[in-house]
Amino acid sequence: MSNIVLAQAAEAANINAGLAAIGYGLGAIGAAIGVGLIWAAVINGTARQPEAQGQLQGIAWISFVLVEVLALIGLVVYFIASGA
Amino acid sequence: MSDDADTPVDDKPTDDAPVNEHARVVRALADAMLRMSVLPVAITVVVAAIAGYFAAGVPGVAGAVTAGVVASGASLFTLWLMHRTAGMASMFVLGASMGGFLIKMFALLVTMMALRGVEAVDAMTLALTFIAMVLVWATSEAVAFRRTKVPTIVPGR
Repeated sequence: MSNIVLAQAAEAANINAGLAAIGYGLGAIGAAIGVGLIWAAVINGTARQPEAQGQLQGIAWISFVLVEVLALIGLVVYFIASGA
Repeated sequence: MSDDADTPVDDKPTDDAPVNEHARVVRALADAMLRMSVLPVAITVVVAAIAGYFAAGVPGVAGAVTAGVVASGASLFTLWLMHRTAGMASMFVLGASMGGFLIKMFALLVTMMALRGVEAVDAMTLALTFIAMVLVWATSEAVAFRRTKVPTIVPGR
């Protein structure tokens, strides 16, 4: 009985690392979609109003930084969850 | 109105590209972000190193310093990217930022995986300091963005 429990615990530890990797991948995809949407909006806005390009790029970069934080935190969570 | 933009500016650093007002705005923003972030980031590293020392000893300090260096490198890479792509069209900046994002995430993943088995670095201190550093960098940059005066409309060249 205890051998079965130990085997299950070992298997759960193995699954944990894989799940952490999947979670990191999902987190990176979310941030990448966010970055794509941000720059798509900037391209659209610059095409409509080229005079505002500097303003729009500034807004885009700060949005990029904030979206990127999610991916970086996801990376750390992967690092912790995968059994650092 | 556009005469000022067309007039060559003597006191600007001579570059082979003409003066681009949009690029100047983005570079000024990047510089402001860097200036605003230096002090909070340094304080965060010092506080994390002290906390790491009490929590895990010397490996805790090593973890805090390593996380500070790695997170700062990632954020400085973004600022460098802002400088490099400031004069480009938005579609090229999109490509550069996405490429930079991919390079950064891959480099950080490799770094973190390489540090996972190292006994001299406390993993939990490293991870928590990394989160704190990323949040401090992002907050400082957002504050700098808020305080920097960016002209709404830059007259066409």
